[in-house]
Amino acid sequence: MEESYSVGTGYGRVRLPFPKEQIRSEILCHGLGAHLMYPETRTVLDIGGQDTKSIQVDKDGIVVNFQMNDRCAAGCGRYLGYNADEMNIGVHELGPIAMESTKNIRINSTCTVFAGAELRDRLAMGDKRSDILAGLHRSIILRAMSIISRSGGISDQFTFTGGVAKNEAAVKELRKLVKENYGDVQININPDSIYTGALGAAEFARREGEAA
Amino acid sequence: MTLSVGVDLGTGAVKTALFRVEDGKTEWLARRNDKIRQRDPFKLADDALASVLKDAGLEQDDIQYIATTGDGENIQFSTGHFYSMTTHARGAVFLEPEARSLLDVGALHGRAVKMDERGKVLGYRMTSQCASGSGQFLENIARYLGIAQSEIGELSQQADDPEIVSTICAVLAETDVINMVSRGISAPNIIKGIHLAMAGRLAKLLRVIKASGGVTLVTGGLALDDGLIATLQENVGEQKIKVSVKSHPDSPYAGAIGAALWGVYRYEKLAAQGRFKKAS
Repeated sequence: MEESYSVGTGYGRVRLPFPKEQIRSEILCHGLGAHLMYPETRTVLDIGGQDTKSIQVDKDGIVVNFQMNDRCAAGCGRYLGYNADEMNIGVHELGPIAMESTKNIRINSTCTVFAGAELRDRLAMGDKRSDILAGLHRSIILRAMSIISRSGGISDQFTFTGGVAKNEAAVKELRKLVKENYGDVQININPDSIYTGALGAAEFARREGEAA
Repeated sequence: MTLSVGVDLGTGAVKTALFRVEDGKTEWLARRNDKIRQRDPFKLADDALASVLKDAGLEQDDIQYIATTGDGENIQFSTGHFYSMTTHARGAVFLEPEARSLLDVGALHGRAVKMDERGKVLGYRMTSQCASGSGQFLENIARYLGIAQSEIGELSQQADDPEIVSTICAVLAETDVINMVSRGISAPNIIKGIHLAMAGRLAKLLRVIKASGGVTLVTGGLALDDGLIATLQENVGEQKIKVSVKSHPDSPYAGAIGAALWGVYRYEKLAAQGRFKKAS
Protein backbone atom coordinates (compact mmCIF):
# COMPACT_ATOMS: atom_id res chain seq x y z
CA MET A 1 0.00 0.00 0.00
CA GLU A 2 1.18 3.50 -0.77
CA GLU A 3 1.76 5.85 2.06
CA SER A 4 1.14 9.56 1.87
CA TYR A 5 2.91 12.37 3.68
CA SER A 6 1.97 15.99 3.90
CA VAL A 7 3.58 19.22 5.05
CA GLY A 8 1.81 22.52 5.59
CA THR A 9 3.20 26.02 5.20
CA GLY A 10 2.16 29.66 4.75
CA TYR A 11 0.45 32.27 6.88
CA GLY A 12 -2.42 29.96 7.75
CA ARG A 13 -0.17 27.04 8.64
CA VAL A 14 -1.12 27.05 12.30
CA ARG A 15 -4.73 26.50 11.32
CA LEU A 16 -3.97 23.37 9.31
CA PRO A 17 -5.03 20.13 10.99
CA PHE A 18 -1.42 18.88 10.88
CA PRO A 19 0.82 17.86 13.77
CA LYS A 20 3.66 20.24 14.55
CA GLU A 21 6.33 18.12 12.83
CA GLN A 22 4.48 18.51 9.55
CA ILE A 23 4.56 22.29 9.52
CA ARG A 24 7.38 24.28 7.89
CA SER A 25 7.86 28.01 7.63
CA GLU A 26 7.14 29.54 4.25
CA ILE A 27 10.73 30.78 4.07
CA LEU A 28 12.08 27.24 4.07
CA CYS A 29 9.44 26.08 1.62
CA HIS A 30 10.00 28.97 -0.75
CA GLY A 31 13.72 28.37 -0.76
CA LEU A 32 13.31 24.68 -1.49
CA GLY A 33 10.50 25.24 -4.01
CA ALA A 34 12.60 27.72 -5.97
CA HIS A 35 15.51 25.28 -5.88
CA LEU A 36 13.33 22.53 -7.36
CA MET A 37 12.14 24.80 -10.15
CA TYR A 38 15.62 26.16 -10.87
CA PRO A 39 18.35 24.11 -9.18
CA GLU A 40 20.99 26.80 -9.79
CA THR A 41 19.00 29.35 -7.76
CA ARG A 42 20.96 31.11 -5.02
CA THR A 43 18.73 34.12 -4.32
CA VAL A 44 14.94 34.10 -4.17
CA LEU A 45 12.75 37.20 -4.08
CA ASP A 46 9.14 36.62 -3.13
CA ILE A 47 6.74 39.56 -3.26
CA GLY A 48 3.40 38.48 -1.88
CA GLY A 49 0.38 40.39 -0.76
CA GLN A 50 1.50 41.07 2.78
CA ASP A 51 5.21 40.59 2.87
CA THR A 52 8.33 40.74 0.79
CA LYS A 53 11.06 38.18 1.39
CA SER A 54 14.54 37.89 0.06
CA ILE A 55 16.00 34.43 0.67
CA GLN A 56 19.53 33.14 0.09
CA VAL A 57 19.78 29.39 -0.48
CA ASP A 58 22.69 27.02 -0.91
CA LYS A 59 23.21 24.45 -3.68
CA ASP A 60 20.71 22.10 -1.99
CA GLY A 61 17.96 24.69 -1.64
CA ILE A 62 18.55 25.12 2.09
CA VAL A 63 18.04 28.62 3.45
CA VAL A 64 21.24 30.29 4.62
CA ASN A 65 19.97 33.83 5.13
CA PHE A 66 16.84 35.86 4.64
CA GLN A 67 15.33 39.27 5.17
CA MET A 68 11.70 40.15 5.14
CA ASN A 69 9.38 43.07 5.49
CA ASP A 70 6.10 42.25 7.16
CA ARG A 71 5.50 45.22 9.43
CA CYS A 72 4.56 47.72 6.80
CA ALA A 73 2.74 47.37 3.50
CA ALA A 74 5.24 49.51 1.60
CA GLY A 75 6.99 47.26 -0.86
CA CYS A 76 4.43 44.46 -0.65
CA GLY A 77 1.82 43.47 -3.19
CA ARG A 78 -0.82 45.17 -1.11
CA TYR A 79 0.89 48.48 -1.90
CA LEU A 80 -0.08 48.00 -5.53
CA GLY A 81 -3.48 46.54 -4.61
CA TYR A 82 -4.32 49.51 -2.41
CA ASN A 83 -3.43 51.96 -5.13
CA ALA A 84 -5.36 49.94 -7.70
CA ASP A 85 -8.39 50.38 -5.44
CA GLU A 86 -7.67 54.12 -5.26
CA MET A 87 -7.74 54.25 -9.05
CA ASN A 88 -10.72 51.95 -9.31
CA ILE A 89 -8.93 49.41 -11.43
CA GLY A 90 -8.27 45.71 -10.95
CA VAL A 91 -4.88 44.38 -9.82
CA HIS A 92 -4.46 42.55 -13.15
CA GLU A 93 -4.78 45.88 -15.02
CA LEU A 94 -1.91 47.55 -13.15
CA GLY A 95 0.94 46.02 -15.12
CA PRO A 96 -0.48 46.55 -18.61
CA ILE A 97 -1.39 50.19 -17.89
CA ALA A 98 2.01 50.93 -16.33
CA MET A 99 3.72 49.49 -19.42
CA GLU A 100 2.23 52.33 -21.49
CA SER A 101 4.14 54.90 -19.46
CA THR A 102 6.25 57.38 -21.39
CA LYS A 103 7.42 59.62 -18.57
CA ASN A 104 9.33 59.01 -15.35
CA ILE A 105 7.38 60.00 -12.27
CA ARG A 106 8.88 59.58 -8.84
CA ILE A 107 6.55 58.63 -6.03
CA ASN A 108 8.04 60.13 -2.90
CA SER A 109 5.88 58.52 -0.21
CA THR A 110 7.04 55.38 1.47
CA CYS A 111 3.75 54.70 3.21
CA THR A 112 1.07 53.04 1.11
CA VAL A 113 -1.65 55.35 2.38
CA PHE A 114 0.48 58.43 1.64
CA ALA A 115 1.28 57.08 -1.81
CA GLY A 116 -2.48 56.84 -2.37
CA ALA A 117 -2.83 60.51 -1.46
CA GLU A 118 0.13 61.42 -3.64
CA LEU A 119 -1.48 59.55 -6.49
CA ARG A 120 -4.70 61.55 -6.06
CA ASP A 121 -2.71 64.80 -6.09
CA ARG A 122 -0.81 63.73 -9.18
CA LEU A 123 -4.01 62.82 -11.01
CA ALA A 124 -5.50 66.17 -10.02
CA MET A 125 -2.37 67.88 -11.36
CA GLY A 126 -2.97 66.20 -14.70
CA ASP A 127 -0.33 63.48 -14.67
CA LYS A 128 -1.12 60.40 -16.70
CA ARG A 129 -2.37 57.26 -14.99
CA SER A 130 0.19 55.07 -16.76
CA ASP A 131 3.13 57.28 -15.67
CA ILE A 132 1.98 57.35 -12.05
CA LEU A 133 1.49 53.59 -12.02
CA ALA A 134 4.96 53.06 -13.47
CA GLY A 135 6.29 55.21 -10.62
CA LEU A 136 4.46 53.03 -8.09
CA HIS A 137 5.94 49.89 -9.61
CA ARG A 138 9.41 51.41 -9.48
CA SER A 139 8.89 52.30 -5.85
CA ILE A 140 7.87 48.77 -4.80
CA ILE A 141 10.84 47.25 -6.65
CA LEU A 142 13.24 49.77 -5.11
CA ARG A 143 12.03 48.68 -1.72
CA ALA A 144 12.52 45.04 -2.68
CA MET A 145 16.06 45.85 -3.83
CA SER A 146 16.88 47.21 -0.41
CA ILE A 147 15.53 44.08 1.26
CA ILE A 148 17.61 41.96 -1.14
CA SER A 149 20.74 43.90 -0.34
CA ARG A 150 20.15 43.48 3.39
CA SER A 151 19.85 39.74 2.92
CA GLY A 152 23.22 39.63 1.18
CA GLY A 153 22.59 40.77 -2.38
CA ILE A 154 21.95 38.70 -5.47
CA SER A 155 23.97 35.65 -6.48
CA ASP A 156 23.42 33.96 -9.81
CA GLN A 157 20.77 32.58 -10.42
CA PHE A 158 17.98 34.77 -9.17
CA THR A 159 14.38 33.56 -8.93
CA PHE A 160 11.41 35.88 -8.54
CA THR A 161 8.20 34.43 -7.10
CA GLY A 162 4.88 35.52 -5.62
CA GLY A 163 1.84 37.27 -7.04
CA VAL A 164 3.78 40.38 -8.08
CA ALA A 165 5.97 38.21 -10.34
CA LYS A 166 2.92 37.99 -12.60
CA ASN A 167 3.01 41.74 -13.11
CA GLU A 168 4.95 42.63 -16.24
CA ALA A 169 5.65 46.21 -15.19
CA ALA A 170 7.14 45.07 -11.88
CA VAL A 171 9.25 42.45 -13.67
CA LYS A 172 10.51 45.01 -16.18
CA GLU A 173 11.57 47.35 -13.41
CA LEU A 174 13.20 44.51 -11.47
CA ARG A 175 15.21 43.35 -14.50
CA LYS A 176 16.46 46.87 -15.01
CA LEU A 177 17.51 47.39 -11.40
CA VAL A 178 19.09 43.95 -11.07
CA LYS A 179 21.20 44.63 -14.15
CA GLU A 180 22.22 48.04 -12.84
CA ASN A 181 23.21 46.73 -9.43
CA TYR A 182 24.38 43.16 -9.97
CA GLY A 183 25.22 42.97 -13.67
CA ASP A 184 24.14 40.07 -15.85
CA VAL A 185 22.30 37.63 -13.67
CA GLN A 186 20.02 34.88 -14.86
CA ILE A 187 16.51 35.85 -13.71
CA ASN A 188 14.01 33.02 -13.44
CA ILE A 189 10.29 33.61 -13.33
CA ASN A 190 8.11 30.55 -13.44
CA PRO A 191 4.53 30.91 -14.70
CA ASP A 192 3.60 28.65 -11.80
CA SER A 193 5.59 30.70 -9.31
CA ILE A 194 2.61 31.12 -6.99
CA TYR A 195 3.00 27.40 -6.18
CA THR A 196 6.64 27.75 -5.11
CA GLY A 197 5.85 27.48 -1.39
CA ALA A 198 3.52 24.53 -1.90
CA LEU A 199 6.10 22.79 -4.06
CA GLY A 200 8.73 23.20 -1.36
CA ALA A 201 6.32 21.83 1.24
CA ALA A 202 5.57 18.83 -0.98
CA GLU A 203 9.30 18.13 -1.31
CA PHE A 204 9.72 18.28 2.46
CA ALA A 205 6.87 15.76 2.74
CA ARG A 206 8.43 13.51 0.10
CA ARG A 207 11.75 13.52 1.97
CA GLU A 208 9.89 12.68 5.16
CA GLY A 209 8.41 9.68 3.37
CA GLU A 210 11.81 8.56 2.14
CA ALA A 211 13.33 8.83 5.58
CA ALA A 212 10.52 6.82 7.13
CA MET B 1 -12.53 96.74 12.51
CA THR B 2 -10.76 93.92 10.71
CA LEU B 3 -12.46 91.21 8.71
CA SER B 4 -10.48 88.10 7.99
CA VAL B 5 -11.07 84.69 6.46
CA GLY B 6 -9.06 81.59 7.32
CA VAL B 7 -8.96 78.69 4.87
CA ASP B 8 -7.49 75.41 6.08
CA LEU B 9 -6.94 73.07 3.17
CA GLY B 10 -6.45 69.65 4.67
CA THR B 11 -6.00 66.24 3.10
CA GLY B 12 -9.56 65.22 3.88
CA ALA B 13 -11.54 68.46 4.07
CA VAL B 14 -11.47 72.20 3.44
CA LYS B 15 -12.36 74.28 6.49
CA THR B 16 -13.22 77.97 6.19
CA ALA B 17 -13.90 80.51 8.94
CA LEU B 18 -14.80 84.21 8.71
CA PHE B 19 -13.94 86.50 11.66
CA ARG B 20 -14.53 90.10 12.64
CA VAL B 21 -12.26 91.69 15.23
CA GLU B 22 -13.25 95.06 16.61
CA ASP B 23 -11.86 96.78 19.73
CA GLY B 24 -10.44 93.50 21.00
CA LYS B 25 -13.79 91.77 20.50
CA THR B 26 -13.56 88.69 18.32
CA GLU B 27 -16.64 87.49 16.52
CA TRP B 28 -16.96 84.33 14.44
CA LEU B 29 -19.34 85.27 11.64
CA ALA B 30 -19.46 82.28 9.30
CA ARG B 31 -17.96 78.88 8.69
CA ARG B 32 -17.87 75.93 6.32
CA ASN B 33 -16.43 72.43 6.44
CA ASP B 34 -16.38 70.56 3.12
CA LYS B 35 -15.14 67.01 2.71
CA ILE B 36 -12.94 66.83 -0.38
CA ARG B 37 -13.97 63.34 -1.56
CA GLN B 38 -11.89 63.30 -4.75
CA ARG B 39 -13.06 66.77 -5.81
CA ASP B 40 -10.77 69.63 -6.74
CA PRO B 41 -9.82 71.22 -3.39
CA PHE B 42 -9.09 74.62 -4.96
CA LYS B 43 -12.54 74.76 -6.49
CA LEU B 44 -13.99 73.79 -3.10
CA ALA B 45 -12.02 76.59 -1.45
CA ASP B 46 -13.41 79.08 -4.01
CA ASP B 47 -16.96 77.94 -3.32
CA ALA B 48 -16.43 77.96 0.43
CA LEU B 49 -15.13 81.54 0.37
CA ALA B 50 -18.15 82.65 -1.68
CA SER B 51 -20.44 80.82 0.72
CA VAL B 52 -19.06 82.29 3.97
CA LEU B 53 -19.11 85.78 2.43
CA LYS B 54 -22.75 85.29 1.47
CA ASP B 55 -23.66 83.99 4.94
CA ALA B 56 -22.11 87.07 6.52
CA GLY B 57 -23.63 89.39 3.91
CA LEU B 58 -20.19 90.60 2.77
CA GLU B 59 -18.24 91.02 -0.46
CA GLN B 60 -14.68 89.83 -1.01
CA ASP B 61 -13.56 93.48 -1.13
CA ASP B 62 -14.78 93.95 2.45
CA ILE B 63 -12.24 91.41 3.69
CA GLN B 64 -8.86 92.76 4.79
CA TYR B 65 -7.01 89.48 4.97
CA ILE B 66 -7.52 85.98 3.60
CA ALA B 67 -5.18 83.62 5.38
CA THR B 68 -4.51 80.10 4.18
CA THR B 69 -3.02 77.21 6.07
CA GLY B 70 -2.45 73.49 5.59
CA ASP B 71 -1.91 72.74 1.90
CA GLY B 72 -3.53 76.04 0.93
CA GLU B 73 -0.36 77.89 -0.15
CA ASN B 74 -1.41 77.97 -3.78
CA ILE B 75 -4.95 79.14 -3.30
CA GLN B 76 -5.46 82.02 -5.75
CA PHE B 77 -7.18 84.45 -3.42
CA SER B 78 -4.76 83.99 -0.51
CA THR B 79 -3.32 87.15 1.03
CA GLY B 80 -0.83 85.17 3.08
CA HIS B 81 -0.05 81.66 4.25
CA PHE B 82 0.58 80.38 7.78
CA TYR B 83 2.04 77.08 8.88
CA SER B 84 -0.39 74.57 10.33
CA MET B 85 1.43 74.37 13.66
CA THR B 86 0.92 78.08 14.35
CA THR B 87 -2.68 78.18 13.16
CA HIS B 88 -3.75 75.12 15.13
CA ALA B 89 -2.07 76.47 18.24
CA ARG B 90 -3.87 79.82 17.90
CA GLY B 91 -7.17 78.12 17.07
CA ALA B 92 -6.88 75.76 20.03
CA VAL B 93 -6.33 78.61 22.49
CA PHE B 94 -9.30 80.45 20.97
CA LEU B 95 -11.56 77.42 21.44
CA GLU B 96 -10.17 76.43 24.84
CA PRO B 97 -8.32 79.21 26.70
CA GLU B 98 -6.79 76.65 29.09
CA ALA B 99 -5.18 74.72 26.23
CA ARG B 100 -1.36 74.56 26.46
CA SER B 101 -0.89 71.74 24.01
CA LEU B 102 -2.87 70.17 21.23
CA LEU B 103 -3.14 66.99 19.26
CA ASP B 104 -4.12 67.60 15.67
CA VAL B 105 -5.42 64.36 14.25
CA GLY B 106 -6.22 64.66 10.60
CA ALA B 107 -6.81 62.32 7.70
CA LEU B 108 -3.14 61.54 7.11
CA HIS B 109 -1.16 62.70 10.10
CA GLY B 110 -1.02 63.15 13.83
CA ARG B 111 0.69 66.17 15.33
CA ALA B 112 1.36 67.34 18.86
CA VAL B 113 2.03 71.03 19.51
CA LYS B 114 2.94 72.77 22.74
CA MET B 115 2.08 76.46 23.04
CA ASP B 116 1.75 79.38 25.46
CA GLU B 117 -1.44 81.17 26.48
CA ARG B 118 -1.28 83.39 23.39
CA GLY B 119 -0.99 80.50 21.01
CA LYS B 120 2.73 80.86 20.39
CA VAL B 121 4.26 77.52 19.42
CA LEU B 122 6.84 76.25 21.92
CA GLY B 123 7.51 72.86 20.40
CA TYR B 124 5.99 70.23 18.20
CA ARG B 125 6.34 66.70 16.94
CA MET B 126 4.47 65.00 14.16
CA THR B 127 4.14 61.61 12.59
CA SER B 128 5.75 61.28 9.22
CA GLN B 129 6.47 58.60 6.68
CA CYS B 130 3.66 56.42 7.90
CA ALA B 131 -0.13 56.68 8.10
CA SER B 132 -0.51 54.51 11.17
CA GLY B 133 -2.65 56.32 13.74
CA SER B 134 -4.20 58.67 11.21
CA GLY B 135 -7.82 59.31 10.36
CA GLN B 136 -7.62 57.63 6.98
CA PHE B 137 -6.63 54.44 8.75
CA LEU B 138 -9.76 54.51 10.91
CA GLU B 139 -11.91 55.51 7.98
CA ASN B 140 -10.72 52.54 5.93
CA ILE B 141 -11.49 50.13 8.74
CA ALA B 142 -14.93 51.65 9.32
CA ARG B 143 -15.69 51.37 5.63
CA TYR B 144 -14.70 47.75 5.69
CA LEU B 145 -16.89 47.07 8.72
CA GLY B 146 -19.78 48.94 7.10
CA ILE B 147 -19.92 51.52 9.89
CA ALA B 148 -20.75 55.18 9.33
CA GLN B 149 -18.12 57.54 10.71
CA SER B 150 -20.64 59.05 13.08
CA GLU B 151 -21.18 55.65 14.70
CA ILE B 152 -17.49 55.00 15.42
CA GLY B 153 -17.34 56.86 18.73
CA GLU B 154 -20.37 55.23 20.23
CA LEU B 155 -19.42 51.72 19.14
CA SER B 156 -15.93 52.10 20.57
CA GLN B 157 -17.36 52.94 23.97
CA GLN B 158 -19.41 49.73 23.96
CA ALA B 159 -16.31 47.56 23.77
CA ASP B 160 -15.93 44.99 26.56
CA ASP B 161 -12.84 43.12 25.38
CA PRO B 162 -10.88 45.20 22.87
CA GLU B 163 -8.87 43.27 20.32
CA ILE B 164 -5.37 44.64 19.88
CA VAL B 165 -4.25 45.05 16.26
CA SER B 166 -1.00 43.21 15.76
CA THR B 167 0.58 45.58 13.26
CA ILE B 168 1.18 49.29 13.15
CA CYS B 169 0.74 49.54 9.39
CA ALA B 170 -2.60 51.05 8.39
CA VAL B 171 -2.78 48.89 5.31
CA LEU B 172 -1.80 45.59 6.88
CA ALA B 173 -4.14 46.31 9.79
CA GLU B 174 -6.97 45.98 7.29
CA THR B 175 -6.02 42.35 6.75
CA ASP B 176 -5.79 41.98 10.49
CA VAL B 177 -9.32 43.32 10.81
CA ILE B 178 -10.60 40.98 8.10
CA ASN B 179 -9.23 38.10 10.16
CA MET B 180 -10.86 39.49 13.30
CA VAL B 181 -14.23 39.63 11.58
CA SER B 182 -13.86 36.03 10.47
CA ARG B 183 -12.95 35.07 14.03
CA GLY B 184 -16.19 36.61 15.20
CA ILE B 185 -14.78 39.62 17.10
CA SER B 186 -17.48 42.25 17.54
CA ALA B 187 -17.29 45.62 15.79
CA PRO B 188 -17.02 47.59 19.07
CA ASN B 189 -14.03 45.50 20.17
CA ILE B 190 -12.32 45.93 16.80
CA ILE B 191 -12.90 49.70 16.72
CA LYS B 192 -11.72 50.10 20.29
CA GLY B 193 -8.58 48.14 19.41
CA ILE B 194 -7.87 50.58 16.60
CA HIS B 195 -8.51 53.52 18.94
CA LEU B 196 -6.05 52.05 21.44
CA ALA B 197 -3.38 51.74 18.75
CA MET B 198 -3.98 55.33 17.62
CA ALA B 199 -4.05 56.71 21.16
CA GLY B 200 -0.77 54.97 21.97
CA ARG B 201 0.92 56.59 19.03
CA LEU B 202 -0.56 60.04 19.75
CA ALA B 203 0.27 59.92 23.46
CA LYS B 204 3.87 59.20 22.49
CA LEU B 205 3.94 62.48 20.57
CA LEU B 206 2.64 64.33 23.63
CA ARG B 207 5.37 62.81 25.75
CA VAL B 208 8.07 63.78 23.28
CA ILE B 209 7.05 67.46 23.37
CA LYS B 210 6.92 67.18 27.18
CA ALA B 211 3.33 68.36 27.39
CA SER B 212 2.50 69.01 31.01
CA GLY B 213 -0.27 70.91 32.71
CA GLY B 214 -3.39 72.51 31.30
CA VAL B 215 -5.65 71.15 28.65
CA THR B 216 -4.59 69.21 25.58
CA LEU B 217 -7.14 70.11 22.98
CA VAL B 218 -7.71 67.60 20.23
CA THR B 219 -8.14 69.39 16.90
CA GLY B 220 -8.58 68.20 13.33
CA GLY B 221 -11.31 66.02 11.93
CA LEU B 222 -10.85 63.18 14.42
CA ALA B 223 -11.62 65.49 17.34
CA LEU B 224 -15.28 64.63 16.91
CA ASP B 225 -14.66 60.94 17.50
CA ASP B 226 -15.75 60.49 21.16
CA GLY B 227 -14.31 57.00 21.21
CA LEU B 228 -10.84 58.24 20.33
CA ILE B 229 -11.06 61.08 22.87
CA ALA B 230 -12.11 58.67 25.63
CA THR B 231 -9.31 56.27 24.72
CA LEU B 232 -6.77 59.12 24.67
CA GLN B 233 -7.91 60.23 28.12
CA GLU B 234 -7.40 56.71 29.45
CA ASN B 235 -4.03 56.43 27.75
CA VAL B 236 -2.50 59.70 29.00
CA GLY B 237 -3.79 58.80 32.46
CA GLU B 238 -2.05 55.43 32.38
CA GLN B 239 1.16 57.00 31.10
CA LYS B 240 1.00 59.69 33.76
CA ILE B 241 1.17 62.53 31.28
CA LYS B 242 -0.21 65.42 33.31
CA VAL B 243 -2.68 66.96 30.91
CA SER B 244 -6.41 66.86 30.61
CA VAL B 245 -7.45 65.78 27.13
CA LYS B 246 -10.49 67.60 25.78
CA SER B 247 -12.25 68.14 22.54
CA HIS B 248 -14.47 70.93 21.32
CA PRO B 249 -17.40 70.72 18.90
CA ASP B 250 -15.61 73.26 16.68
CA SER B 251 -12.22 71.52 16.89
CA PRO B 252 -12.13 70.65 13.19
CA TYR B 253 -12.04 74.40 12.50
CA ALA B 254 -8.99 75.07 14.69
CA GLY B 255 -6.65 75.58 11.73
CA ALA B 256 -9.05 77.87 9.89
CA ILE B 257 -9.75 79.87 13.06
CA GLY B 258 -6.06 80.24 13.81
CA ALA B 259 -5.35 81.31 10.23
CA ALA B 260 -8.09 83.96 10.35
CA LEU B 261 -6.87 85.29 13.70
CA TRP B 262 -3.21 85.39 12.66
CA GLY B 263 -4.43 87.10 9.49
CA VAL B 264 -6.05 89.82 11.59
CA TYR B 265 -2.84 90.17 13.62
CA ARG B 266 -0.61 90.43 10.58
CA TYR B 267 -2.95 92.86 8.84
CA GLU B 268 -3.17 95.17 11.84
CA LYS B 269 0.61 95.12 12.35
CA LEU B 270 1.35 95.92 8.72
CA ALA B 271 -1.47 98.43 8.32
CA ALA B 272 -0.26 100.32 11.41
CA GLN B 273 3.13 100.66 9.73
CA GLY B 274 1.49 101.53 6.42
CA ARG B 275 3.12 98.51 4.82
CA PHE B 276 0.08 96.41 4.03
CA LYS B 277 -0.27 95.51 0.37
CA LYS B 278 -3.33 93.62 -0.74
CA ALA B 279 -2.59 90.73 -3.08
CA SER B 280 -3.62 91.48 -6.63
